[in-house]
Amino acid sequence: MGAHHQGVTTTDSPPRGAWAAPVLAGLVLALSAVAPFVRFGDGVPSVGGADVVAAALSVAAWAPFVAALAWLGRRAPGRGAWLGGAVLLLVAPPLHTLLFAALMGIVAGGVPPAMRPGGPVFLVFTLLGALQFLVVLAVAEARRAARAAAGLALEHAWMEAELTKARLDALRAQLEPHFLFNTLNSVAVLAPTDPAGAQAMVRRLSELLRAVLADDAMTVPLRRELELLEAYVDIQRVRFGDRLRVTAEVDADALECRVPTLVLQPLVENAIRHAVERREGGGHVRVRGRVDRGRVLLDVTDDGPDAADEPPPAGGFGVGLRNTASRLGALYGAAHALRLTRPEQGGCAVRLELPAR
Amino acid sequence: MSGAALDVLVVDDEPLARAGVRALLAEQPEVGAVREARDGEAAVAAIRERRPDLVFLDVQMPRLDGFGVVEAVGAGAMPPVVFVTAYDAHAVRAFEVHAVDYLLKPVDPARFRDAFVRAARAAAGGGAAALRAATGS
Repeated sequence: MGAHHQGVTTTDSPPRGAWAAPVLAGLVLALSAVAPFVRFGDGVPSVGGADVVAAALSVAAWAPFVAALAWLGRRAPGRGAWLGGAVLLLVAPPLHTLLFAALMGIVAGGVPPAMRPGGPVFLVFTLLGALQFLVVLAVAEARRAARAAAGLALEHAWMEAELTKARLDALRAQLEPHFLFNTLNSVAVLAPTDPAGAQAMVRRLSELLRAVLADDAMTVPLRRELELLEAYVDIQRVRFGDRLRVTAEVDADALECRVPTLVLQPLVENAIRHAVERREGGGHVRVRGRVDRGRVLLDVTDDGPDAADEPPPAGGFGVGLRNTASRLGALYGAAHALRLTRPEQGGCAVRLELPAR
Repeated sequence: MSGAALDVLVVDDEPLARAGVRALLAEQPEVGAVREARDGEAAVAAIRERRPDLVFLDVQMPRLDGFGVVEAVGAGAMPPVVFVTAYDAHAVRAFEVHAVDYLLKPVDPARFRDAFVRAARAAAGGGAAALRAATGS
């Protein structure tokens, strides 16, 4: 549909060319109203002043019936309007002719016998009236259809907007705005003093953005996910200095399993926050992956402070892990598990279990 | 703007972000000493002990964030503060705690200059006079 992208704007103003049908129909009605009064004296068509008055009365006599049709359209849209229109088509023409004859009687001081019900002129006017009313019905139907199409276009645009919002939410869950803008800030700071470093950072960020914005961005093979994790860790290393150490040990059979894109990033970020940021000496984040009985098991552990040193975050998860949990819920439902534990030997451990696909 | 050079405290958990604000401060002739704090707790301690003339404060930091710092020091004892944040989700809250200004990273140098001048006026005037100075005149 052409109106797809303008759905929102087309509803208030009628679609382009909507004036054509009513104007053409008006022309047909005006001509057909005047036609019966044209005289052919001496083979030359002519219309007298009284004839124009009669034609105008004929048109004016339609007013109550058009009003009735409009009222029907508002009161009973859809099938009801069709039924009402059909009834009006049967009833309106003879009633119109009666009204017209009555108006002529008032203006001319009496109704000529030929225009009385059953007379030949009465029949001709009724038939003509039926044709004229058909034209009005056709215009009304065309306008109704145009409005319905505009409504449909609006609905399409609305659904598309919802879909875009859902994708944006997914994007935010994968690549947090704070991370994005802090990284851009780092690039801006590096640019004058360390252009090569700034360029490297832009390349790494581009890699992450490309992965997140790809058409099939929902999941990637774990092999690819580890590459993306490396890009992320490279960026964090520049941002937070060299204190950050991240290593990955993943079994070969786990490498081809599909996992949600950038699912490791919030887990590692959580570990970095916990183990690295708050310690002068830095810390070590370890990622392990294996397949066990049809399940992919991913462990992210750090060597941060002992559990006794600090209570776990309220509610178990921080904001990052909560977003991850809801994203996993949407993708896998009950088929996944995400657990945060504080091992005896200290640090923090997150285990993610997914179906191996 | 005359008188003694201004003591400025820069608070951010990222070394690079601190370096960025420091580089922008180097462009301001009114600046004297610049100190850094790498988290909220260090910021609270530095504000209490060193009493800087103004503070550039990151919003999002682990444990104690920028708002937590203002709360811990107390609005009355807090020097004029300019919040610096990566993502625009806290502006309203920043002005509720009477921040002089609110900057988004990456920071535009001209915008930084505006914020700095306002903060410096607030530091020179103090209290209600600072508010009047910050809003023009």
